[in-house]
Amino acid sequence: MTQTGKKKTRTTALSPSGRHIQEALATFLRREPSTIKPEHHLREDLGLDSLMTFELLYELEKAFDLEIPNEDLPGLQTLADIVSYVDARVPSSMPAPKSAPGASRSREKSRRQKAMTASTKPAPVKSKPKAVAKGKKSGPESTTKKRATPAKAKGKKR
Amino acid sequence: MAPTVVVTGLGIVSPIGIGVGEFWKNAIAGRSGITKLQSFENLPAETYRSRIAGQVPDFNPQACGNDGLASRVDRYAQFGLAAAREAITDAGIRPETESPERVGVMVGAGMGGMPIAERELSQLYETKKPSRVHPSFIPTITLNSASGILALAFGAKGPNLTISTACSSSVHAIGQALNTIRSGKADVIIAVGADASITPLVFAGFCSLRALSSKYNETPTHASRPFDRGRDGFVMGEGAGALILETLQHAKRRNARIYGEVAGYASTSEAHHMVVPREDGTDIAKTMTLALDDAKLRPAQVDYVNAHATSTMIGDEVEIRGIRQVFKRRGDKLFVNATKSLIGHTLGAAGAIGAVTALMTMNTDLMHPTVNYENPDPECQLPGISSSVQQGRVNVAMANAFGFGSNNGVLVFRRFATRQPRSSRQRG
Repeated sequence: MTQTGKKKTRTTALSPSGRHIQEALATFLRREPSTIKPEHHLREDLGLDSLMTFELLYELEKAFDLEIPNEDLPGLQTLADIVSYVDARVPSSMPAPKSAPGASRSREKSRRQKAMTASTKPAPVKSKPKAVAKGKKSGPESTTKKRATPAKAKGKKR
Repeated sequence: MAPTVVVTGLGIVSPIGIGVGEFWKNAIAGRSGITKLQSFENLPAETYRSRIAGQVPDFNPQACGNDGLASRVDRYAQFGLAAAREAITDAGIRPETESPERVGVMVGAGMGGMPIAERELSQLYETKKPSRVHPSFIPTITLNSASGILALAFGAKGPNLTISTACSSSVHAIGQALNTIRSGKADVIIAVGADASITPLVFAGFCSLRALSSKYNETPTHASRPFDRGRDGFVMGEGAGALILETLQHAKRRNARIYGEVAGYASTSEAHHMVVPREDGTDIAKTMTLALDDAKLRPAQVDYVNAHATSTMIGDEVEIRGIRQVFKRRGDKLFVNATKSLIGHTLGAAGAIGAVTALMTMNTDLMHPTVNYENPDPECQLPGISSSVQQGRVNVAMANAFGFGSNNGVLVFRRFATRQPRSSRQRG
């Protein structure tokens, strides 16, 4: 209990941008933000592989208008590393972006889902969340991609 | 019994030479073809994280022939056409004397016609005039534009396929050519790998994937350094490789020069990750073993491996781990080199260029240097990797290619003349 309490204190001690990054990571991993601690290692504790890490950094670069060169990657192992990296480069006066960086991704996904269900399921699908979730993983990405307008397509990574 | 399949012609378009003669001379000399990236019209190279590439300088599409075919296709297919013409001339095949339906074409391409795709798309959004999209856009962007134009160029009416498995595409094109001839469906196949997608969008995409080297932007020739401790990603290249495969019987009837036998091929998927290979190397090892089985050869008979070795941190390690698993102690006697150290990663062309290199190695008994191999990474060290030219008898050569999408392909080539006599001695 004490330990959890201690961790919680550390978590709330995150800067505004830190909380923002924590939320982004949570959206990205589909987890509760409070379960992601500053000391968590991206790969070992949170299970991010290299591609997922690059996707996360891409979202942060976009949200904070940053350029994170490849040489800096070895220093970005934990959430705390990323937070101090961003804090050092983004003026504290700068408000955190309105939407969580990961949100663009989830919006994209829900849009994909909609497009997918519209195109593949003529019958009502409201009551079938499982089928939708399954569709997320494969197939429909490429079909929806073709339909995406250029402005929307910009936000995509694949 | 399935017919023996041999290679009788080679062709290449590469950053270090258009034509096998020039390519090989520069490869043996260890001359790097990596240069600073030329800017894309109004997008300066400085806006990219990686600013180096293996670009083919001074390519003249007219060199593909004056029949006007080259103007109908994009840069990658022009490369393919030029390489195939060289291979056909080299093989001494006169297509008009062959039964057209017994001559096939197999092309491997990873990206295809991206230059025209990007140009037409940006123009469409700028002008907002759909009628300005060029009528040749569709036949050019269609992924089989290269295999189509090759059929037209040589009157090849046999099996005609395009295989796209990213960076392993053309190993599979050659493998499918082998199997098609083995199954009796064709006598001759023009097998080509081609890619030319150093374009604003594709280059940006590989930068965002953080797959490209960015530490050596000011010293381009140092950037592609497979197996070296200082490597930091691959260098994007472009080019094409072409091979003429035919049955031994057909080659003998023509009294053709034989570069070697295509002895074995294997194709697998790791079903693991879209861009990262399985870390323990077991899937790569399995693919090499299957290719050797197909060739009815044992690991101890292999002398040389043209490694996929793109100069990425994990890729090079995993490949050597796989080689160690398959070859065990033989691994210490193998010659291994990385053609990408010279020309960068030509994506869909890499397998065919690797195959051309393997056959040239077998015919000259010279292994080109792996340039920039200065501080061997202990994780991917083998005694047979060297930054200098190596000389040695090569009777059996292997060429590896692995692609995004968890894809693996391996080819095995065997010296033609020495099939029986030496094997008994090696068995001991």
